[in-house]
Amino acid sequence: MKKIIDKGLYAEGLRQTRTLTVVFTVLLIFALTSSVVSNIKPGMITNIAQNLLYPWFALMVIIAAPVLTFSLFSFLSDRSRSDFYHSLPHKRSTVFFSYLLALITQFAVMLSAAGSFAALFITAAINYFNSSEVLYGSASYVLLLVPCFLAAAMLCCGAALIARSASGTAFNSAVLYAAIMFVPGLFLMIFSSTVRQMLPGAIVGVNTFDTHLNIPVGALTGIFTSSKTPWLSVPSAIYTLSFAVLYIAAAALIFCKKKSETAADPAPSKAIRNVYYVLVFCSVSIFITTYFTKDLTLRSFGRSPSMNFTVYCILYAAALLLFAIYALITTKSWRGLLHALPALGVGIVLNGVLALSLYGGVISELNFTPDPEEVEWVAAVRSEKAYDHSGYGIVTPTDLLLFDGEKYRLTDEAFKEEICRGLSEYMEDYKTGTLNIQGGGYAVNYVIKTKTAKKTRAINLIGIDQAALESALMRSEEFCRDLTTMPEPAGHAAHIYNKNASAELSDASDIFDALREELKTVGAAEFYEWNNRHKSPIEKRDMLCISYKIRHGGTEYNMIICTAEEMLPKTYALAKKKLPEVSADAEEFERRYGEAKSIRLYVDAYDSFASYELTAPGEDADKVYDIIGQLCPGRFKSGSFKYDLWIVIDQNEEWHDISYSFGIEILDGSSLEEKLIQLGFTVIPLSYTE
Amino acid sequence: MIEIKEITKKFADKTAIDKLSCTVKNGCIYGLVGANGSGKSTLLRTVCGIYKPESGHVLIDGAPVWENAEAKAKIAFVSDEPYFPSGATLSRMMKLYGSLFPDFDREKFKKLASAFSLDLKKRVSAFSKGMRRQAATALALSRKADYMLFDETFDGLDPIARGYVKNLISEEVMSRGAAAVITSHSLRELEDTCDQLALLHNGGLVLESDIADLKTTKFKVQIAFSGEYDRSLFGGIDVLHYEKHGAVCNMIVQGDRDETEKKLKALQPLLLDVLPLSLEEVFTYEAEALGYAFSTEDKEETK
Repeated sequence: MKKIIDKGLYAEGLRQTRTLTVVFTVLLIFALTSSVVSNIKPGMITNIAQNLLYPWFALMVIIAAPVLTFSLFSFLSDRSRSDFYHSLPHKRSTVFFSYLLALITQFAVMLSAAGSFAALFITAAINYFNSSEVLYGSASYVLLLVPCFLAAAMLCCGAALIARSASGTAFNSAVLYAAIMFVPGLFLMIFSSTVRQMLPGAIVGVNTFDTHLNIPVGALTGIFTSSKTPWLSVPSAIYTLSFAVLYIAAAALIFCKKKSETAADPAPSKAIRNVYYVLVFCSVSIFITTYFTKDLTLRSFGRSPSMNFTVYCILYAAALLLFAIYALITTKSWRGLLHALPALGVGIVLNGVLALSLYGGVISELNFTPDPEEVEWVAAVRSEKAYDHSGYGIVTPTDLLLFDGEKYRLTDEAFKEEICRGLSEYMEDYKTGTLNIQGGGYAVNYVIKTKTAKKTRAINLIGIDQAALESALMRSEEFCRDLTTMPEPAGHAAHIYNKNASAELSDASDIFDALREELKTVGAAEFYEWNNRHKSPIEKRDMLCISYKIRHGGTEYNMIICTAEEMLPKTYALAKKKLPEVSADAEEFERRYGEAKSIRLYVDAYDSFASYELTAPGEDADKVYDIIGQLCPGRFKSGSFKYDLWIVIDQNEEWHDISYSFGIEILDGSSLEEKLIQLGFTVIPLSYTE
Repeated sequence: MIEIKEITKKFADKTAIDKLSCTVKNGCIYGLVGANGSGKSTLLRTVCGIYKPESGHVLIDGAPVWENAEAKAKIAFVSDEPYFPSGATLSRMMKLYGSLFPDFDREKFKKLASAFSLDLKKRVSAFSKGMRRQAATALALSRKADYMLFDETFDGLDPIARGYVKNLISEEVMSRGAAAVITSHSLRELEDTCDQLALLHNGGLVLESDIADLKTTKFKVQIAFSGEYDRSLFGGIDVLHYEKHGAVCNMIVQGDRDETEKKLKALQPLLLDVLPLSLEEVFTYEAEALGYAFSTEDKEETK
C-alpha cells in the first residue's frame, strides 16, 4: 500500500483519457501535414522537417495538455466525485502520481505516433515529390520531437495541475492555467525588451530574462514572431523538463493539501480567492503598465512614445472590464464584484510599484556617471555569451584573457578620467534627447567599479578609442605576461590552414612546443595588435593559422593563433611544411592524390548562402580533376569568385581540404544547381540549420 | 473498531462537528440520527478519511485513518450522493471498482445486481434515484470491508428494497464480524436494524445508547387519582416528561420498570397503565430533556 503508483488507478487513468488521446493524435498528425503543405512554395528550398513542427503542432500540445489534465482531474470540481476519489484506499499522492503517469504515458504515445508519422511523411515526401519541389530535411530531426514536446507537455500538465488543484471550477482553472503557464514568461520577455528599449545601447549587464528555452512559451511567442523553432533543442528540453518537475512538485503539494470539501469552489478560501483576483488583474494590466512606464520615461527624454495617452486609457478600461467579468463569472453575483474591489485596489498598487521600480531602475542606471576620483578601477571584459550562439566558439588569445577581464584592474588615472567624461556626456545626451548613436551588443565591455556600485558599460559606443584601452592594458604587467603565455591545448590535435589549403593534424605537439617557446619572445603590444588585426587568413596572404581546442569555464573553444613570416616565424615555417600543396596541373594532382581513399567535392555559393555536395561520376583522381576542369575553365585561377570549390581528400585517414575559388559562366539563366546537374553531377543540397 | 476521539471539523466559520467522541465496535450496527445539518455526513466523511478534522483523531483498529491507505482499505463508504462517471454502466462500474479496490468481488456484485434487478448494461444515468442507491449499496457490499458506512442509504428506496438492504447489512455484520454505521434522519428506519443508536445535534453527540437499554429503561405511564395532585406527588421517580389533563396524567419515566410500578401502586391510583415506548418516543423525550426539539415526523427530504 505504501506506493507512489497504483496499477489500478494508472489503468483507470489511461482508460479515462483514451478517447481524447485518439482525438488529439489525429489532430497532431493533421497539424503536421497541414504545416508542411502550407509552407512548401514552388522553386523554394524547403526544410520539410522544420516546417513539420511549426507552429500548429506546438499549439496543439499546449492545448492538449490542459484538456487531458482537466478531464482526468475533473473530480476536483465535483463534490461527490471528489469524495469518492478521496475515499479510495490510497494516499492522495498515489492518486496524483498514478494519474499523472497515465497522462505522461498518453502524451508519449500521442507524440510517438505523430513523430513516427512525421518521419514516414518526410521520407515519402522527399522521395516522391522532390521532382517538382526542392524539399530537404532529415527524418532524424523528428527524433527531437518526442523528448522536446514531451517535456513541453509535462510542463503544461504541471501548470494545469496547479490550476486544477488550486481551483474547483473549470473556468477558474483555465484562467489560472493561462496565468501560471504563459504570463510569467511573456511578462519577463516583454519586461526585458522594454528595459532594453528604455536604456541606451551603452548600458549593458543589466539583468534581463531570456525565455526562449521554455518550449511552450517559445512556441507561443514563435507564432506571433514567426520564428522557426529556435526553442526546439536538447538544452530547451532539459530546461523545460526542469521547470516541469518544479511545477509538478508544486501541483502535488497543492493536490495533497486540498480539502475535499472545497471541490467545486472557485478558491479554497476567501483569502486565496482575493489572491486570484489580484493575479488575474495583474496578468493583464502589468503589460500595459510596462509599456506605459516606458513611454512616460522616453517622453521625459524627448523621445516620441509608441502609443498615445488615449490608447492607454482604453487599454486600462479593458483590463478593468476583464477583471469585472472574471469576478462576476466566479462569484455569479454583483455583491461578489463589490467584494472583489479591495483586491482590485491591491492590483492597482502592485502596478504602481511595478511602474516605480521600472522607472527608478532605469533612472538609477542612467545616473551612474561617477567622477574619476570615485572610480576604484576599470576592467575590459569580453562576454562569453557572445560566443554561445556562433556554433564555432572561435577565440583569440586576447579574447580568452578578456573573458576573465576583471582580473586586470586598470587604475590608470588618465584612462579613468577619459571613461568618466565619455560616460557622463553620453548619458546627458541621452537624457536630453540629443544622442544620435544607438545600438549595442559590443563584444568588449567595461566594468566600472566605484565604492558603492559596479556597472558594465559599452564604452566603445561612448567614443573611447581602442588605443586608450590598449595603452592601459599594456601598462598591466599581469596582462602582458598572460598574453604571451600560450593557452594550453585540450589534447594534441590541431587544424592548420591558409587561404587555399588546410590539414587536420592528429598530433601537433611539435607545433605547440614551437609556439609555446616562440610566444615568450614576442612583445605583448606587438602580439596584441597582431591579434586584433589578423584573425583569418582571408585577410592576409601568406598567413597561416593554427586552430586548436581549449577549455575555459567548462566550455570548449577553438583557439586561433595566426602566424606569418613576420610574426612567430619558426612556428609558421614548421606548420607550413604540414600543409598540402595546391597542385597546378592534372598530372601533379593525380601524383599527389591518386592513391587517396576518397575524394568528395563541395560547392559553396556565396551569393545565396547555399551549399551542395557533389557526387561525381567515378571517384578516380583524374576524373575529379577533369570535373574541376569543367567547372573551372581557368584552372585554379586565383581571385575572388562567386563560388568556392572544396575538395575533401581522405589520405590514409588524414583529412585534407583544398579550396579553390572558381567561376562558372551561366548564360542560359539556369541556377547553379541546374548547371551542376547539366555537368553530370548528382547534387545534394546541404543544410546548415540541421 | 472505529474510535472517534474528540474530533472537531469546521467549514469556514461554521463548526460542523464539535469535539465529538464515540466508538463503534466490530459486530455492531451503529445508527446515527440527526436533523439536516447536524453533522452526520461530515462525521462519516471524516471517519473514512475524506475530511481532515481540525482537531482530534479517527482510529481504525488503532491506526489513524487520515492519509493511511491500509486503514482506508478497511472501509466501504456509500455516500448520500453516490458517484458514477458520466455515461457509465454497472459493467463499467464493476471494472472501475475491480481496478480500484483489491477486495472487490465481481461475482458477488453480479449476484447482488441481479437480486436488485439492475441491468449491468444500462447506463446508470438512466436509473431512478432508488436504483442508483441500490447500485451504490451493491458495489459497497461486494467488497469485504471491515467497516461499512452508509449515509442516508435508505432514502429513496422502496420498502422491499429497504428490507433487503437491511438484511444484507445484518448478514455481513453477523457473518464476518464487520461493523456498519448507518445515518438517517428517520428513527423508524434504524429502529429494527441497529444495535446502537446515537443522536447528533449541532455537531455533538447528545445521546448514545444500546437500543435494548433504551427500550427497557424508559416507559410511558398513564395514571389517575380521585383528588387534586401535581408532579411533586412522584418524588423518588425519574420523570422525564409530565403532562396532566384533568384527573389523568401521562408521564415518561426512566428507571426499573417493576420497581417504579410498585411505587406508583403504593400511591393507590384510580388508573395505572405502564406501556412500552417506541424508539422514536424515547428519542423525542430524551432530546426534549436535553433541550432539543426532535421531530417525530418521518420527513422525506429531497437533497
